[in-house]
Amino acid sequence: MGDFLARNWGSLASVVGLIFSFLAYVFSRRASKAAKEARDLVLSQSLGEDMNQGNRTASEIVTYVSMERGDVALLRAGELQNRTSHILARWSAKLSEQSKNNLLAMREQLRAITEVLTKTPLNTLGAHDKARLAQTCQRVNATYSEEYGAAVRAADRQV
Amino acid sequence: MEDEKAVQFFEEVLNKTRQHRIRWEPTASDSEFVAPVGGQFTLTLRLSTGASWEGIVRPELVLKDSANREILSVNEKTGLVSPTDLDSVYELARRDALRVDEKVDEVLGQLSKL
Repeated sequence: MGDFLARNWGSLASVVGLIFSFLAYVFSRRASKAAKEARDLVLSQSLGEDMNQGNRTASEIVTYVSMERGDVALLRAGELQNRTSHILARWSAKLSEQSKNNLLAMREQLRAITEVLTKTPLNTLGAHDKARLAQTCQRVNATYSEEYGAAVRAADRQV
Repeated sequence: MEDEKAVQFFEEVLNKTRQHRIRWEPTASDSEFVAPVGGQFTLTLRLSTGASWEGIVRPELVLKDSANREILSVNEKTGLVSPTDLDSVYELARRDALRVDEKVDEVLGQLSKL
């Protein structure tokens, strides 16, 4: 056995080297796959996804205002204000001027909504004020839906 | 120099509002109107008690940048523009935002049928 090893150590070392190379190849493939999955995950947080989440929150605000749940509507309006700022900052280069104008206007609309909800409890708001608040929330929701549609359309064009 | 810019800014907003070139929108507050400009700025016109020396409610024009920072404010306190001009721009923006002229035309059409 010792004699065999002494005579063939070079060949054996090559075989061991080959095995290690193969293992390294397998592990690097796995690492590459994991990196690709991570990158895909990041990319899935695309403009369309951001707009979709914004659209859902805007829809929730409409629902909570109609249910007179001012406390939850206020929380969601604050969240959506932040999300709108995030979208404007993150996707500035991708958004058209029209979309940016819509988002800027929505952020101001949401600020006014939060001010109204902070000042007066929803159930004590007058009928006119309540109607105006509901209409504003609907308008924010409609605009977010349009912007979501525009983002999906733009993504479809890229495929 | 800064005052000159503020006056120039206000006069341009007044002129463009007169020409209906600014997209004023109503908000959840009945005394506040907003308009986006050029995908970078927002204009807000609101009635505020802090906008006059006497503590009475007066219009105030506020300019914000895309990062939501208030970068300029024109009101009676700044003394840069006349209270009449502030009232004018507020009233014109209100009429535009609430489409008052369109609605009055509609009413006039209905009245003419009576």
